[in-house]
Amino acid sequence: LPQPPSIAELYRRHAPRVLALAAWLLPTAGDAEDAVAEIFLRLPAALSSYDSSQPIDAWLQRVASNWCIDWLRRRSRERRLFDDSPDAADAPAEADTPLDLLLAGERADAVRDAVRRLSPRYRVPLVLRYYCDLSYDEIAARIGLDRPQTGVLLFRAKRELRRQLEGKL
Amino acid sequence: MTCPSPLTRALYVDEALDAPSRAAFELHLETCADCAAAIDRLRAENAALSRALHAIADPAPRPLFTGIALVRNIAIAAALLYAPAWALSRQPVFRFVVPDIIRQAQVPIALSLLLLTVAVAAFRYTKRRVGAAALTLAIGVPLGAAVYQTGEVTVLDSNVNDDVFVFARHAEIRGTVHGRIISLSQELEISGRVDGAVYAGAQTIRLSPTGSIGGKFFAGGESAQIAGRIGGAFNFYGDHLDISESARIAGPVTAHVEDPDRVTAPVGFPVSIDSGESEQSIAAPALAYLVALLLALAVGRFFPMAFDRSAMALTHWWKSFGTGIAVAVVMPAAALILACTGFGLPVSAVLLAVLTAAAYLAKLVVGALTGRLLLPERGRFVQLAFGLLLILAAVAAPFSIGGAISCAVTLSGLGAIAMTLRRFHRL
Repeated sequence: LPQPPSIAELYRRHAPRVLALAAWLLPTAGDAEDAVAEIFLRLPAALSSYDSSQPIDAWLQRVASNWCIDWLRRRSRERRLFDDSPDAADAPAEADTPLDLLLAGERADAVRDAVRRLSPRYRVPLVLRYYCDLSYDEIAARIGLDRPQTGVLLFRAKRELRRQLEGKL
Repeated sequence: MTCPSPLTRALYVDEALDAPSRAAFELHLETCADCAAAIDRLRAENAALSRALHAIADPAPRPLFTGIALVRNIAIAAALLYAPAWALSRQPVFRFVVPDIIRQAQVPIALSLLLLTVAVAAFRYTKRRVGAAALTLAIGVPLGAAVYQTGEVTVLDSNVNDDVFVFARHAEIRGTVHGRIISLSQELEISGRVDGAVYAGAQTIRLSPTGSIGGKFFAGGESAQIAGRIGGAFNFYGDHLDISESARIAGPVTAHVEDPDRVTAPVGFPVSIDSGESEQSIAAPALAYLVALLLALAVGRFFPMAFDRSAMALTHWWKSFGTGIAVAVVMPAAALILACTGFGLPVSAVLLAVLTAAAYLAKLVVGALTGRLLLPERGRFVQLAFGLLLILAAVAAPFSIGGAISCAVTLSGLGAIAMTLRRFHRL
């Protein structure tokens, strides 16, 4: 049987990716650093649930995103961080500047700031979709919603991001 | 036919529509140029968003904080604290953090040296703000100590019908006080009459032959000379106690001193000495450990986030250590200044109580992290129990090494708690 990789080895190889994900999901860089320390501190216990047939980086990404979502949940005043009624979602926004044009004119750190300013309920699905490249079903499972609700959140997330970027111009 | 909603389009692009809706939309798409254009636009947006989020380089993580790092950092911090104190005073002054900082001038000087070291290290290795703060403190502490040293001389010569609060470098009570006296001074001398009790903290305390205290006398300081009359019990906490022939003490006399040889009293004078020797039995440390464990469990249960995050803040060891020093200097100083204003006395008392509680919690937080780092695969309870045991054992180490470790652990934990509270406040 192959030996499981040591924590130090895992940290050396995967900590940058975990930190990057935490930095997208959590409000500040300090929170992200603490998250990485905490996630790797818990890893020895979590590794027992690791199924070695799946790639370790995907597994770590799931552990990390779950930890961050849990962190955001615990911190938010109301428990149901992502619960959102889908009715008000369809406000027409036809005249909006397309996001790709807005993004093209922005520096990378301005985009990061704009994403950070989003409320967690929008930021988390947005990051899971466009940074982690997860499908709707995977995102829905991680944040505990169904697929249409996830779609609504993502739709609104992009609208909010557009507002953030426009507000800056 | 009306076009589907923007949401439906977005779901379609992301392949998140169920099969019937998808088929219906595709049917519509064949005839609607607007929707087709919107779909192209959405695809371009999504691609741009994905590119933008991937464009930022992965940040570099800090080195992994391990049990070895923790132990090494505690050792360095303890040595840093111990060395200047030892060099200056040749005696272990860092037994308790808070009283000692107020207690004598060597400590501010030692602290300044230490802070200068921290400032240099912080400028060299970390964020500049920490260095600037440490430097400010390093200059501010001896200045503050100088002001404190040259403070007022208070002589109370008249009759007072009320309680008296005295805060001075040198305080002398010559008149008559019908109430109580509460004093925090460097030197306190009572040669007049006090009808009530006296609560005094001072470096040197003197009750002259002419002095008399009607109630009990509660004194803490380096040395006390008792030559007058005390109507109630007398409790002394400190190093030297000298009771002369002329002393008349009605109540029981208890001296809480480390070395019984430093208590002099007339032959036959009943002085009970509490040198803490009895606490060397196994019961007291075991009880202290149990209390600490229960408290840590309670805090971890009721404030899980604050407790865990404080422990995590310790992984920024030098930052939390520096913050802890700043808190341990600023809070007693603020309390002292508040106490001098009289009306600020309750606030000052609360401040000191909070500081004392935080200093205790600090050890629990460090213990929690120690357990987690050294026994990563065990459950939370085992980690906590083991970490606390280790920290309490290290703090009890002989030859004042324990004192230095205690100080390093307390200051770091205090800083970690302060950093966490600051973050919570900011949110």
